[in-house]
Amino acid sequence: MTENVIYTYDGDIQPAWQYYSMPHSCVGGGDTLDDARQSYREALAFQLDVDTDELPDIIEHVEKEARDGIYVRYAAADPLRDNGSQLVTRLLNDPSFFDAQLEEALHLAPTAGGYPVLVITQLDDPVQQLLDQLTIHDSIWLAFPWPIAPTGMQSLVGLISLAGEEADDLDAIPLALDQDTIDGMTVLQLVQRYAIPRAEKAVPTLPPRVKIAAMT
Amino acid sequence: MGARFPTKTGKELDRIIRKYCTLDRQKGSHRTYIRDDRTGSPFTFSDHDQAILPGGKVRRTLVNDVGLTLEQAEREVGMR
Repeated sequence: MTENVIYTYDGDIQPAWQYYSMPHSCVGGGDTLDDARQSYREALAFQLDVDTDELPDIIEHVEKEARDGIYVRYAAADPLRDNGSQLVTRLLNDPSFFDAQLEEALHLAPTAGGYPVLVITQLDDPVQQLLDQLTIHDSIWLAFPWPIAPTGMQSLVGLISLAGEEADDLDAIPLALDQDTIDGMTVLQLVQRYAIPRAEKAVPTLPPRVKIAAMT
Repeated sequence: MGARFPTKTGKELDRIIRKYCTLDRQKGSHRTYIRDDRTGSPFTFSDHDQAILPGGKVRRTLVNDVGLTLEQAEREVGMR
């Protein structure tokens, strides 16, 4: 499993850049992103008992608060996903997209930190890549572009949540899949089975929530 | 929607961690802990004593790493 680290920024916190990681859990922070990155790499190397130049592959993510208590997460090395995070942030602050019903739904599936996170996702992303960003106590929301745009409709974004085994979301639909199926599944395939797009001016629908478990 | 966890200093969170976990190894500010009940996986806590940690990180650490139930975690931070 690839190591995933999530960096968050909050100017009211000291130090302002915080991190947490999985599957090897390291928590810490730094005054700058580079400081936090250095601290994380040293912490992971210490936990794995290796040198910092012997670390496994690491995928870095940035998590930012999009509106009060709701965060977006995107891969740090991908400018397209940064653009996607800006789009989703705009939608989350647009009353025609974000209403009380959606707010309530998002809070049904929080991370272990207690707040919902929308992960900027592409339809061809492997589902396993998203599951690697979860601990058993996390849920995350996948925010993906929905390519079938009715006339006059813009900024279509679909949502579906993935829950960890012991996440707070008790009502997520359980899906028992064999590991080969999970390995071959993309977000699009997951969406085709379970997701409903949510768009500006569309009839509000509650986005689906699933919990994927690998069959042994 | 659950109540937000309060911020804690690194020292305050470390004090709670040590009630349930044993310090396995330390190098500088990096401390690797193992749960006393031997469940879960080792985790590394690298925050300085003076750090001000956001409530979400406090919640995550106590539930995900220390292995407390949400109710136990809320009690430890004075929410109950």
